[in-house]
Amino acid sequence: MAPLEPWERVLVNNEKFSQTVHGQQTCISCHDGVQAPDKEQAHTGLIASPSLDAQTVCGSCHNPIVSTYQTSLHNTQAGYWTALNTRSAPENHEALSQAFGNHCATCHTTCGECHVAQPDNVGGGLFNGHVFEKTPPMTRACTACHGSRVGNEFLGKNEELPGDVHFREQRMNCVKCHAGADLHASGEPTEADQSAHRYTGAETPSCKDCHPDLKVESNPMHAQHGEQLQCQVCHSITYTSCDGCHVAVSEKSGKPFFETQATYLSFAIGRNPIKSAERPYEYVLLRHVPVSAASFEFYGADLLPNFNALSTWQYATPHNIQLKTPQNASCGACHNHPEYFLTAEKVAAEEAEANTLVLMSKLPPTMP
Amino acid sequence: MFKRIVQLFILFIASVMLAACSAAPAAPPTATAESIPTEAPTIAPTTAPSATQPPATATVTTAPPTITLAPSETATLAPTPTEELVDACVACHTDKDQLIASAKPEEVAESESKGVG
Ligand code: HEC
Ligand code: HEC
Ligand code: HEC
Ligand code: HEC
Ligand code: HEC
Ligand code: HEC
Ligand code: HEC
Ligand code: HEC
Repeated sequence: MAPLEPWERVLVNNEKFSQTVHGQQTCISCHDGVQAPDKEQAHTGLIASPSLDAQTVCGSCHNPIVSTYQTSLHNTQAGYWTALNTRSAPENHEALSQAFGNHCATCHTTCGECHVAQPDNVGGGLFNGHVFEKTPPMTRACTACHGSRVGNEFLGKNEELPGDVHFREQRMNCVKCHAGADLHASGEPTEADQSAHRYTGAETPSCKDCHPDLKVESNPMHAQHGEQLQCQVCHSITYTSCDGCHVAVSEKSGKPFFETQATYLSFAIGRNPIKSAERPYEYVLLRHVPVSAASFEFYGADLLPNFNALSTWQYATPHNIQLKTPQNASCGACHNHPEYFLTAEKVAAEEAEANTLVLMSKLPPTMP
Repeated sequence: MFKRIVQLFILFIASVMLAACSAAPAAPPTATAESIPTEAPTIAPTTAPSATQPPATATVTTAPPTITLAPSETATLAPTPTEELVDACVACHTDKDQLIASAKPEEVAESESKGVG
């Protein structure tokens, strides 16, 4: 994403905007503020992100979407809370809420951050002179937030690694697979607040939505392992893992910051930690997530007393699908190849207990 | 009557051409979103004309509504151009020079974060 000058971020193309439905209202009707030629005065009471209150600003015309969006993970960030709550105890909630507000809430997503302007966490900036875009622009919306992992893998920005076949060969963008209806969420009052995360429920999307008729007879791999292994186990290549994120507030500037100890490419087949009827795979890819027992130390001692309640190697669906991969070259290229599997020696001693359920107890036998 | 139609037609063609000229540089297709991100931001080109010759932009701004809108909508939209002239928000946010002049100096505060977020 090319950096924008401050003026470019806020320059409205009123020639275009005023001809759209949304441009029929005055600026003030969505942003508040006052009519005045002086900037400071005009911005008195300004609401920079009107769609934070989507119900009021968008709800009168887009009601189904606005109300279902309340339950979407982009709005609730329940995935973060699911992980925090599982690893902590109720008495830690207050301290963690403070940490969450400082470090995690910046990823909360408004309607406008997908449809009008770049997300606040990259400094904002109108996509197209304030015209509301039906299709969120991939690199200015989606990968502005999902860049360092998903974006780099999908677009082939990790050195020497090809991008996803769907991007390289089909020029598919994110929304070809992640439809508006999925991102706006269904509005079902799921167990949302308690146990929701990115992989709750059915796969959205599922590879099989678009590949319903995989070759089975002519492809012994699909015949042998079509059910037992998640597709990515054979069709992904190395992907990003992170270790040891610590968050704190700077004494110097008073601003929140984080520090990740390591970011590296990894490939690890292990046991499925969230096996269900909808994700029946026995074996899946796992990535190391950057949590550590001391991640929130700045906010209090031992805030994650149940650290081991979740693995640190978690279910993953890398965005770098390839037809041919090193591990799917032959049956023998994968079987009994320790480099592809998560085994006990690869797990840090202090995380051993957290990961007992995902480790491979033995490797698949040697094959030709 | 016929003369009037011809006049209108000429006016129509003229405004289409005007609109076309002003629209052309802004044309990077939506495909930008799908291609590699090193591209210039889509809004940059539209600012070029207004920077070099502000008065021209003013004429262009008012021209398009007359052509693109169906008669019924013209009624509701006609007042907009006059409103625009007095709307201080619009006046400033469509004027690059004024935005540059009133922008807060860029904070040099470097992020103290380390590693990938
Ligand atoms: C229909 C409601 C609506 C109207 C009318 C509207 N805006 Fe906005 N504006 C938004 C939304 C939504 C965003 C994106 C921010 C968010 O809510 O996430 C936005 C973003 C912006 C931004 C970009 C902020 C940034 O840095 O990313 C500017 C500048 C802006 N509006 C100015 C204006 C001006 C000037 C007008 C009048 C010409 C106007 N807006 C009219 C809803 C509106
Ligand atoms: C006065 C009613 C009204 C309000 C308020 C409104 N919209 Fe819309 N919106 C519409 C209509 C009508 C369309 C369909 C426009 C079209 O097809 O050209 C639309 C289309 C859209 C689209 C698709 C754009 C396209 O070109 O198809 C998006 C995205 C959108 N609105 C988001 C929002 C958001 C976000 C808000 C609140 C900040 C909002 N709208 C407020 C009436 C409204
Ligand atoms: C402002 C930052 C931001 C933007 C912009 C953004 N996301 Fe997200 N996205 C998040 C966060 C944060 C989560 C995780 C929420 C959680 O786990 O609680 C998430 C979760 C997801 C998920 C998994 C959860 C779900 O709802 O399925 C998908 C898929 C996703 N994003 C795709 C996209 C796509 C595609 C785009 C662009 C159209 C996009 N995101 C734009 C921040 C963002
Ligand atoms: C994470 C990104 C994301 C967020 C946040 C988001 N949307 Fe969308 N929205 C999409 C995608 C993707 C589409 C489908 C685009 C396409 O099909 O080209 C879409 C489509 C739309 C459309 C057009 C629907 C149609 O069928 O034409 C409207 C209207 C809309 N969104 C309104 C909203 C409103 C209102 C909000 C906030 C309550 C919102 N969106 C939040 C990603 C998002
Ligand atoms: C070819 C289809 C496809 C495309 C294109 C695609 N995704 Fe995904 N995405 C998936 C699948 C499959 C999943 C796993 C869904 C599940 O298991 O529920 C997923 C999951 C996700 C998740 C949640 C899991 C995670 O890793 O955090 C995010 C976020 C996400 N995608 C973002 C994006 C973004 C951003 C883009 C565009 C740069 C994109 N996706 C493009 C298929 C796709
Ligand atoms: C939204 C539809 C969609 C989804 C979801 C999707 N794909 Fe694809 N995929 C395609 C299309 C279209 C092609 C190119 C045409 C083809 O070869 O079938 C393709 C191509 C491929 C190829 C290359 C095939 C070849 O012969 O070169 C592989 C491998 C693949 N997909 C695997 C997957 C996996 C694994 C997933 C889930 C992570 C997935 N796809 C999800 C649409 C999709
Ligand atoms: C055990 C490894 C393995 C698993 C698991 C696997 N594949 Fe494959 N797949 C392969 C191999 C090997 C090929 C053929 C590669 C070649 O042509 O050289 C292939 C070919 C394909 C193709 C192109 C030919 C075709 O059958 O249409 C697609 C698409 C595909 N796989 C998708 C998937 C999806 C979707 C899943 C999950 C449901 C999956 N694969 C699971 C190994 C696997
Ligand atoms: C990408 C890795 C991968 C590829 C490629 C692969 N397998 Fe496997 N295979 C596994 C895993 C993982 C297991 C499960 C081992 C276990 O349960 O302990 C397994 C188990 C098996 C088993 C059961 C072995 C036992 O001791 O229970 C057989 C038989 C088998 N595979 C045959 C094949 C054949 C035939 C091929 C080639 C057509 C193949 N596999 C390709 C990963 C792979």
